[in-house]
Amino acid sequence: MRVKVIFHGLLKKYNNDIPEIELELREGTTPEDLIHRFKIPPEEVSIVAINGSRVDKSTPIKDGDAVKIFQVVGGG
Amino acid sequence: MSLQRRGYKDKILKVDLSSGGCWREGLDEKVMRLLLGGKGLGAWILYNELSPHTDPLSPDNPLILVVGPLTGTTAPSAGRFGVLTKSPATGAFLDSYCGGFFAQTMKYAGYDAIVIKGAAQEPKVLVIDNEEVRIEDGTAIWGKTTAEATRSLKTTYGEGFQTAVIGPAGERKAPIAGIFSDQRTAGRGGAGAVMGSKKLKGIAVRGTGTVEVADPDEFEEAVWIAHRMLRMSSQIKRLMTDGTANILELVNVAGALPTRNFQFGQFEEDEKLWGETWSREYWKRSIACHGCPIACSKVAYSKIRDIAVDGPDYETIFAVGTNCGVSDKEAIIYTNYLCDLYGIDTISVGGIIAFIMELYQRGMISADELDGIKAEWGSGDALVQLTEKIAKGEGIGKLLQRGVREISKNFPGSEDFAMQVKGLEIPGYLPRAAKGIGLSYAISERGACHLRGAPLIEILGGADPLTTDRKAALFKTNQLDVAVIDASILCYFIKFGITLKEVYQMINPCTGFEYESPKELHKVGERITTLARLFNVREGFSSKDDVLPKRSLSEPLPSGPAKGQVVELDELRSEYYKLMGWDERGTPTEEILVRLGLKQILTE
Repeated sequence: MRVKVIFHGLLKKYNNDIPEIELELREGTTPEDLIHRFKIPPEEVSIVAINGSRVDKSTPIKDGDAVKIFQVVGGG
Repeated sequence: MSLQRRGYKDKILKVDLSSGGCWREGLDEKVMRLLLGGKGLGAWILYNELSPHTDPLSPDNPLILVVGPLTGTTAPSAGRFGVLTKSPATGAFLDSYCGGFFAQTMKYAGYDAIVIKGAAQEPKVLVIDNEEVRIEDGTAIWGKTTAEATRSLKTTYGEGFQTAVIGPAGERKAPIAGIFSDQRTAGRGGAGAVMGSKKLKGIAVRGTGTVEVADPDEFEEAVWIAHRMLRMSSQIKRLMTDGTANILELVNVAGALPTRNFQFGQFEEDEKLWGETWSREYWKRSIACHGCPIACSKVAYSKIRDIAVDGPDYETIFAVGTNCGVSDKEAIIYTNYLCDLYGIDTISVGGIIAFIMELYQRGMISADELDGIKAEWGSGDALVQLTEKIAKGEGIGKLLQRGVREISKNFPGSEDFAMQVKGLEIPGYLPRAAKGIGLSYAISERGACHLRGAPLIEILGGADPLTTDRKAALFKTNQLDVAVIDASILCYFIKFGITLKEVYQMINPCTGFEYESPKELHKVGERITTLARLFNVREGFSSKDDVLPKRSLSEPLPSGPAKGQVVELDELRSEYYKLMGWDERGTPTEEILVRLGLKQILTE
């Protein structure tokens, strides 16, 4: 399946400073798998979203989805 | 060792504006060990000096300014003072904090607290120049905006003076009026109205003293560690680069960004309001409060109006932006600007306008009744026009400035979507999408507040926002931590870099109190929270007031990641009361008062 992966903020450094990338992925891949694949330290990730809405990291990604991995933020 | 060499000044300044007299009192060391300072000291004074059922706008309601043991030391982000009083908006306990440069100046002038009672007949300015205290005529600046009044005070008394003023809204005692110090504000709950009811336009303070700590070497080491940890924090880096609004995209993705009067949790135009977008299009520089390495404040320059505003912050962007369906950044900037000038709380203003827009949507109010304003969702023009009315208290503004709860009394059935708790408008996280935060809104002593233990990790990653499991415990821990921060006084943002342990490591060598562990400091937080609760109980508050609007309790969220959710408040509230040792009405039991050591020091 073809999927877009977007790295929020400073996390793009784990993708050679490129904020977006399109990938061919196996069915059932999860955002958790992507975090491992790109070697992002788990403590630097806050939440993940599929198509603009927050999901659990273990949610299976579907063909055509846009997955965004968010770095930790502080504020409010 | 005297308290004066242990972070304190051992001095409370008391001013009576009715008689024009002032005097000084010392601190009680026993009490200070139990309550630390800041919010703790303020709550103690308020509880003892105010008789229950006093009108908040009467001369008998004290206006109390406080600082903490860390104020004026090298501790990071300690440039903050507290204002405590009985709120004219809620009738409940009010504590409101303000950054800038007033806090340490007040401490250098030699005071742990300033208690202002009585009321003057004519406008006054309170001038404090170290030990010298004068009540001077304030007629010349009465009627001026906060910016004009501030400038005038600095010109009259000197640039070495720091100021705290009210705007025209405070002068006319609007319950949404705050107290402003340079660009920062003690915004919520109507502290500005209390100051206005005393005919006090401003306070100017100059301090040339210093603050000593009990063990300077150990203190310095703890401060160094705190600074290092703040510097290494990615979360704080985000605050530095894109301000408080850096979280907006995340909150939207989590489905918790209040949109159109809390009807929804996602805003379709959110990208226009991301922190990164503001940085790129509007923010030119950062401002820090005294002693803070974070510098979260950003300055926006309006392209079309040739004005600058400190902000807008996340809460303002949600309140007058997404919550009103507005994505027009120029309109948001100008609204922020008006609120600052006239001296009112942007969160409440946004809540009021969003409520009006929903009434308008439902055909419950017409443009005619709104002085011709078409209060349509997303209209930047309507936003600005309504803000002007509220800021000036003109036309329909006379009613609107009184807040959502008062307005809704005129529209039967509208209470269900009057988004307020105890009379304070709800801040920027949607309760149905973050239940621990929802609980904190219901419980907080001053009304709906996101700064009294709301577990923001529900939104920012680290807790499941939709479960009620162990949420009451999470809230309680956060609430007690925050009480310690408000006693020390530090800025909440340090918690994105350090923990209670590092705060404890600064507090001990500062005060010499030798608390055995961070847990003992946590108990200080519990004591302060319980004392604030006792104040409210004495005023007649109980579990019936620890509620959320019907929208949050029984209107399933129509869309987004939290679709279908409501807040199961009853079970969360029960659980919380049990954890705190309060009865089912939310009254602290004798047992807990004894266990906390409060019973022994309370006078009744």
